[in-house]
Amino acid sequence: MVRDWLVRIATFCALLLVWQLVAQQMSAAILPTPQRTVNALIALIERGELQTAWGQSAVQVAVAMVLSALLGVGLGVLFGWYRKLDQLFSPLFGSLFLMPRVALIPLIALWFGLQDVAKVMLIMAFSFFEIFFTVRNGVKSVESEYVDVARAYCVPQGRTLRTVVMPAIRPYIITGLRLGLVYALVGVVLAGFFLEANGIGGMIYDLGSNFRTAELMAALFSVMVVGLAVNLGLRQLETRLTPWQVSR
Amino acid sequence: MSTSKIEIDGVGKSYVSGKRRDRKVVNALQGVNLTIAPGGFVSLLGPSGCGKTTLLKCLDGLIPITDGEIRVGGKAIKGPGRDRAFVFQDFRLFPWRSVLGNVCFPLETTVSSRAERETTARKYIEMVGLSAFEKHHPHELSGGMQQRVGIARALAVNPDILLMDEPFGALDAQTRELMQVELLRIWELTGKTVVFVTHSVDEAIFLSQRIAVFSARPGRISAEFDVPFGYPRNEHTVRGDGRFVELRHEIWGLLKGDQNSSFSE
Amino acid sequence: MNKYLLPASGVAGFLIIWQIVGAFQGDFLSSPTRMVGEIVYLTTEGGLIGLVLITLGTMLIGWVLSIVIGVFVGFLIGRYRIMSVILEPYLIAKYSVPIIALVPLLVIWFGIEEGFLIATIIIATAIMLVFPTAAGTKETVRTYDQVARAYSISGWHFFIKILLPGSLPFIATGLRISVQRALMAVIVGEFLVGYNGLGTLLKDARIRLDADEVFAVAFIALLVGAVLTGAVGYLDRRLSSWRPVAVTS
Repeated sequence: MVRDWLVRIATFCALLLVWQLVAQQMSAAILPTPQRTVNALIALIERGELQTAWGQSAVQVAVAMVLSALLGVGLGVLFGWYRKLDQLFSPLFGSLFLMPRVALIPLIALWFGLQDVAKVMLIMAFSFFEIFFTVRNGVKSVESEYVDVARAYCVPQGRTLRTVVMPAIRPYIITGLRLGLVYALVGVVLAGFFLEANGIGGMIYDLGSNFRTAELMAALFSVMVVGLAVNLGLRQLETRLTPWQVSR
Repeated sequence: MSTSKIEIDGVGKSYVSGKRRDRKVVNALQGVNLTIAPGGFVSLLGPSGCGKTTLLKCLDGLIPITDGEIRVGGKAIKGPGRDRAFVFQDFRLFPWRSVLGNVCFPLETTVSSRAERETTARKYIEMVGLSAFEKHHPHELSGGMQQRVGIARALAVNPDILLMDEPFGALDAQTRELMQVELLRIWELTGKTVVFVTHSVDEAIFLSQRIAVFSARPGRISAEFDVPFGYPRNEHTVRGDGRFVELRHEIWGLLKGDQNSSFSE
Repeated sequence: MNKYLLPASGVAGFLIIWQIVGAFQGDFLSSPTRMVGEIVYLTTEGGLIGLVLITLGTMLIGWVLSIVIGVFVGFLIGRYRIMSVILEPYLIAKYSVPIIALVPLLVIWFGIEEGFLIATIIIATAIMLVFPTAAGTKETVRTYDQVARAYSISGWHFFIKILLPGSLPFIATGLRISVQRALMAVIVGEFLVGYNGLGTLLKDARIRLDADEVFAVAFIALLVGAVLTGAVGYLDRRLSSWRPVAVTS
């Protein structure tokens, strides 16, 4: 283990060195040095720009996630439980799931404009389906296994849904929320690119079009940190809340 | 009042299977007749896919039958009832509930007092010897212990009939023998009627009073045997007995013949 | 027959309601007939087929390169522990980050031509093949390493006769999960820089905000996505057919 970490640290240092050497040969607008990038990050934080951008994005993501979670879990349970309903709507939902969600941007712009409402909608277009399909498939897969037990012991349907299905799909709900949040990050970045240019996506877009490459790389670094934190944090939560299930 | 607890009368179960083009009707069960006395221990024995588990699920009412009638205590059954309890091969415990919570589960619809439920549940947890583990969750228990919980859960509703679907099939050989002895002890203690599905000839002989041997396609009972041993039974005396070897030989012959005929089909 | 009745009536009901509502709120909701009319117009006058083919062509080039790179890196990680020690932290980091955010940086590095689009696809999708391939390689090596040594198979033969076929179902899984991402990457790239293709259609619809065009473009994207997913799903089933249990995730 110790040796592994030594190797990792060594390669990381080598990578930094290569970056430094290559960057020295190039214009700072193409590839800034590590030093410049770190300075840009500090400057972005000191001027409060990074916090403002992330603040806007966080609000948009939070609203969209609450809505997608409510809708996704609610509809997911409903569709998983009532097979007829599922068959009726599955081709519609399924085809939306297969569509590259970016293609909804003109439609969202037409219906909701370019401001916060539109952005929440775009983020939901990314996060809702992940939650909905994970929960729906969860209900379907616990059905045969656990619902038979409830039937064998004459437990009425409503009670089965509440005391058997809901706890049984808990891991699926948490996995769905994690995937939903990961995709919500994609949504919020694209919202900044193609709708009103604010939030972290808008910031990256502006920095890119003005060739402020050092600050751009600093902003991208912050996206990486947030993405990692979200993913790893929620994975931890997953194993904590459902110790009986190996995380998928 | 009839003298038999369960009467299976000309029962058939068929369903349609296969994709569009090669759709065909499968007769999982056809013309099955069997009567079981109150307090009896009967095994349904046969190769996998012969319909013995299907019959057991029909007995519980989990699967509707397409032909004939099943009567329990003289009345035709329409669906799952609280006079019958099902023990699953793969245990089917709820992983989010403790041992106590799992055993309490079937009581929650009938007993409103939590304390009362837990008292009942504890009684059966003690009967299967798991009192020290009532706070544990299923994933912390071995397979044998999990199935003990499964049996306690079934007993908790105080059914007249225990329907057991290869309950020890997922356990290793040693645990299996231990559980067989345990089951007989509990059966003698409670006096339930037991219908026990297995594909092990030895298990069927060791446990039951009567054995119904199945053959496949269509699933039906090809022979019935009475087991000539009294209870309580002891592993060594039963297996060492000449009649055990003889009965085992006879049933094996029957199963083998069935297997060969199904190969030559 | 019955199996298709409910889904079909769901779609039919949706189309009928859309048609009726669209008759009153056409500027906002379009309608199935108006949408089809727009698609016909785009096909005859707007060179729709050409644009779709350009996008698909770019996507396929980028995707095939992603597969080659992803599978190669996956093999390295699965075969040599040192490579997994070195690379895995970066790969995990990259895996949980919205890669699409990198697009403005890629514009700076690669310009706004086809090279940029292909770089975007590779960066977004190669990773989706690395993990399945690495897992497949690890499992194949674990299962068959001793068989191979017992029969004195090594080097190139081990790769061609054991590693590649053994990992194929896993690679197929990678193909299945990466195709949508490749399509999304190329569309985002085209959309952002205005390169000819589906992305320009989106850009145009986004600017003009004409309901018929907006729906037509969304529907075309849906169709392309569905056809690609169907084709890769078929490929996946063919490549994994010898495997009794389907590989997931």
